[in-house]
Amino acid sequence: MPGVFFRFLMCALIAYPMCLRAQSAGAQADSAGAVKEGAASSVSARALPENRQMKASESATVSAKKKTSDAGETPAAGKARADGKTSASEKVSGASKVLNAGKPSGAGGALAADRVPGAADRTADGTADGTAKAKKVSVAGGISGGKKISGVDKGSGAKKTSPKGKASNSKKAPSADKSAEILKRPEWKALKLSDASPYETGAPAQAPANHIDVIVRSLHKSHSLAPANQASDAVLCRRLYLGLTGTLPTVEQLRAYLDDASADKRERLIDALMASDNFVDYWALKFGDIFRVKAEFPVNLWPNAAQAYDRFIRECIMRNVSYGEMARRMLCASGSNFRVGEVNFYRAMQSRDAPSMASSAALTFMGMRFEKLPREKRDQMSAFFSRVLLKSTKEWKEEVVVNDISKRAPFKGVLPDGWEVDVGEEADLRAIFAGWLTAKGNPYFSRAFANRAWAWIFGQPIVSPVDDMFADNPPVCAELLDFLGEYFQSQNFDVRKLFKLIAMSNTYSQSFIPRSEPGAARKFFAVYPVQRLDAEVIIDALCALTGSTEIYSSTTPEPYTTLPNYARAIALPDGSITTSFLELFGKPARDTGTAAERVNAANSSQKLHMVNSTHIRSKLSRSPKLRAIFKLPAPQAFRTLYLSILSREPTRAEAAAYLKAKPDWNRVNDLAWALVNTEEFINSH
Amino acid sequence: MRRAITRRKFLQDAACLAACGAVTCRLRAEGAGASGAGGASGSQASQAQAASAANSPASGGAGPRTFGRAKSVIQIWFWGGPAHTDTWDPKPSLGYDYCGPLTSYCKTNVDGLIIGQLMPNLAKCADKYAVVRGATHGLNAHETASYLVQTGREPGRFVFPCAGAVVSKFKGYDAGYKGDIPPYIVMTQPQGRFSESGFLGLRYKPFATGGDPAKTPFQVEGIVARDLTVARQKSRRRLLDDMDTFKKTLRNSGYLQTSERALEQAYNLVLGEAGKVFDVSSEPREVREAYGNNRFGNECLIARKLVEVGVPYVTINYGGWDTHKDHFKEMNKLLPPTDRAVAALIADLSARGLLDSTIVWWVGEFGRTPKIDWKPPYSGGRHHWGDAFSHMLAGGGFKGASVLGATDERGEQVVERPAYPCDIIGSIYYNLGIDTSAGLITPQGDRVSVLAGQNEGAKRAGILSEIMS
Repeated sequence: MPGVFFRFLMCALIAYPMCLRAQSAGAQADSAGAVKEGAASSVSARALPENRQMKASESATVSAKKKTSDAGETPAAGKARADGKTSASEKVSGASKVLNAGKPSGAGGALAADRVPGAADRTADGTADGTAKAKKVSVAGGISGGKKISGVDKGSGAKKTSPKGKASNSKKAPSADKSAEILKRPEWKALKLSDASPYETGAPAQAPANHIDVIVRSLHKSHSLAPANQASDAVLCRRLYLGLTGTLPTVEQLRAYLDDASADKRERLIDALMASDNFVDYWALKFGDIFRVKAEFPVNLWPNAAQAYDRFIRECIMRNVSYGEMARRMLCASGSNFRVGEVNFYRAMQSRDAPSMASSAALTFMGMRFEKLPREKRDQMSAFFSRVLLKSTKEWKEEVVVNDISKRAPFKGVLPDGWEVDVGEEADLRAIFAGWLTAKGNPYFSRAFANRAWAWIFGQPIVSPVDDMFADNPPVCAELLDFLGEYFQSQNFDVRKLFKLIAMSNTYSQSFIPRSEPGAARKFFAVYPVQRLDAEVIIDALCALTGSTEIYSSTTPEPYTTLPNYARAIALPDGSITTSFLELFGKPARDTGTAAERVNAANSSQKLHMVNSTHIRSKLSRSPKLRAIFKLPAPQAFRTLYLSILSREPTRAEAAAYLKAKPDWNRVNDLAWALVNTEEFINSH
Repeated sequence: MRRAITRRKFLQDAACLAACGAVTCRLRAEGAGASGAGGASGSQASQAQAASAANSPASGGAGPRTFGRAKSVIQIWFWGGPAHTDTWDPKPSLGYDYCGPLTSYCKTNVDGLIIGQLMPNLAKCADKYAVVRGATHGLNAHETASYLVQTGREPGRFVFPCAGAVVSKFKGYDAGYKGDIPPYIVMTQPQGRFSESGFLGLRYKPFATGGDPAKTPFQVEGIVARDLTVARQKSRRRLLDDMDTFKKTLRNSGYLQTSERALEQAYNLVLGEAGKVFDVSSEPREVREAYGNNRFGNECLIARKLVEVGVPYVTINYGGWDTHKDHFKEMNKLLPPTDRAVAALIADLSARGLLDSTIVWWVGEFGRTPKIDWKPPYSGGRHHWGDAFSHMLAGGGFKGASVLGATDERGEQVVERPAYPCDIIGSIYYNLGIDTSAGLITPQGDRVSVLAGQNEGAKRAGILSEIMS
């Protein structure tokens, strides 16, 4: 541990003076006190432009010479230093912070307090409007109350059953009327099944929970869209567990949330989830995708280097290291790639030339496609990586990343937004770039991440593709992007705080059922976007439900890596370690770091696998955990399967449909199978 | 290796010449045949013509007339690298250090062509296939060599799709393929090492059957479930429909359209006729016997059945060829059933009139060291050898009774008509009627051609026009 701090301090010591020099206004050494530290080398810099639009073409035109204006500039030097200190202390206190996370904190708590008591009123005043809408939805959705149930069942039965099937059904199965009768028995009555929608409350949110809602609401108005109703507690609970930790809630966790009547339960759940180990694993996985954490092929990165890289990411998330700090460490680090995990940012790419490094930095941290930049810009940006040197050592495939001092020479360069730098010969150019990138007011960094965060947590990016933020690819809502970016920056690039802001918004807690034209509703955030779960999340959920494990392995390089009896794909430390299931369900190859590599789209091979493969069938049929549920009395088994697989109570209509056949051993087995094959299970909603 | 590079330089020069005077070069190609540099430059020329023919298929007669003749490919992937000197390129007179116990060879039914001692059945049908003895790429690591042989590209910034994924793109659903069976099948496990579909993504990945083809029924993962009756399958599906309240709720939104269609398609395979193609028990006993009635034999038989119903690309991923240790014991175990099944496959395809439209491609990532390592722990092993190895190509526009290229007297270096991965893949695409200059879009939005262009620095000696007719 002290080693880590030491390394960090070293990094800070190297990085910050540079950053400080870069930011100090004026080329003259006498202009600001801070420059004294700069001694021989001097930097001419210009403060960031007011215009923060992330338009490559614009910044390209700005790239012409810019005069340094001494007056009126914020000498960001002090700030940058304060920055560094904050993150250092943050790091030290990181662990305790996580432990305390259960407590509601400042602004968020106030918001929640405002919001939740209102909820009861809302349903009360919204009655006329709300119920009318609710009815409309349920009719469209085919869930309806009272007499209609049997009608719907008959209807759907008639629609779906082929004559043959019906015949075989009627032989052994009670009719729909009979199932209604069974439902009247005390043991079924005890379940208190309802006909209300299990998915949503009766109305959309009335008051905004935070500024996101204000922006999104006006976006809806400008497109004449009605926002979706608010999601039910159960749906929201499942969504938060899956979205923040990639893990399904257990029945106990779900019940605890549903039974909790306190006003701040949502916020407390978010905090608790973000303090959990699952959060660290899941976000190490997501960051691993964009940072390309993968051993051996096509990049010849040895597995222990990939794992060191993974450890670095994991540790940063665990300690809640700010994203700015993480970026600086990756961009500025030197050392062995087996020991200093973050240097693998430069190593986990096919080519080792400066343009490739610049390209990765642009994609990862600026949401920009280097290839689309004009030649001149590319050369300028590459120059900052021209002194990164990779040296091999006597250890097999180990490499050391260093700032090549043999290339020392005074350097003049131009940063991507047209900012000029002029530094002395001992400068580490990477640090200048990193300092610029993560400085407050940088137009690229905070928005690029804000867009990713929104896409990850809410599920639908503001700029799509999420890592191609060019002028010709405008955001769906520039105001939202600006706001999230500014908030992220103002919170010192605290990833958890940004995630929490999004997860606390009423926009986030909308249901997945659109109340306007579905395409537009999805595009403009007027509905929670239904999306297939990540491959790793699906298999982990299946393992957790059944109490089974998988064998994960990597066949590159030899000797092979094998992780037997492994239940948590979200915690895999290396993109090469995989299974055919993960490949089939679109786990990214991590070859390029583009977000598009992860494909969460359904296809028939996946369906075959889920519906009929021995893999899934034996997971279900050999599970002691499920067997224990199957042995419960029919009503309890029925309900427990719903709670554990779909994380919600079953409805009356579902019970009636289930009771169309005798609820024997086969039937309850088939129910478990059917529930994991529903769209409801495999999608995030 | 060195030789190959100088040759490549020469060929690049030759390509310029070819561009100036295509006609002369074509004459040279016809005259010189497959010997030495003259032949190679000639084929370079015909490749240039092939490309132009591909661009304008109407201009008949420029390249080989095999453009578009093949409809399907059966790729037998010898995972680990089969020893070329024990199979298609025997050097029986070199003695114990090179031949070990395999001192003999098989004379084929083609004059002057000999093949490995353990392949007597294939020796009887040499009139139906071409042997490529000049295959080379110089890489000796599984990962990079597999990648190069299957994509035709050196590892680089992107992971390119392998031949199967490219064929799946150009001959699969995008090209109007309507079958219920996915257009790209691999038996039984994916090849691993790299993502087959590369940057083309999930849509072009192969369907891996899983299961054990030696068992009856062959439980194709997802398609065949032995312990579930049809009635139970149907009642399960009804239950699923009844229980999916979520799906009903979103029925009119279109959000689940892809997923619903995928389920429909999956059930066509589970409950419909299409899935029966994996069942070998419907084949006559003699046919199954001919193929050997074992795992690999059944895979070959199923491959034939798949091709028969129009599946454009089938890979048999055939492991066990990375024989560093006890090589000869392994060869004695592996080669006889391999010989039998591949010979049966060729004969069967031919008897059914399918060989003209089906390419059978015997390929591994490299060859193995011609000199045997007798030292412990290898005790008679052969190691990786990328400088020279062999492919076998039958049908679909490849000429039977032909040999292309040659290695030196020890089988260590290519001395005549090299065939680089790009050339072989390019020839297969050509015979399938895939325009090799057609574009693929990279994740960065750039357009790259299906086959590595000269500007990517890929080694090429031209498509194998000498063995295409």
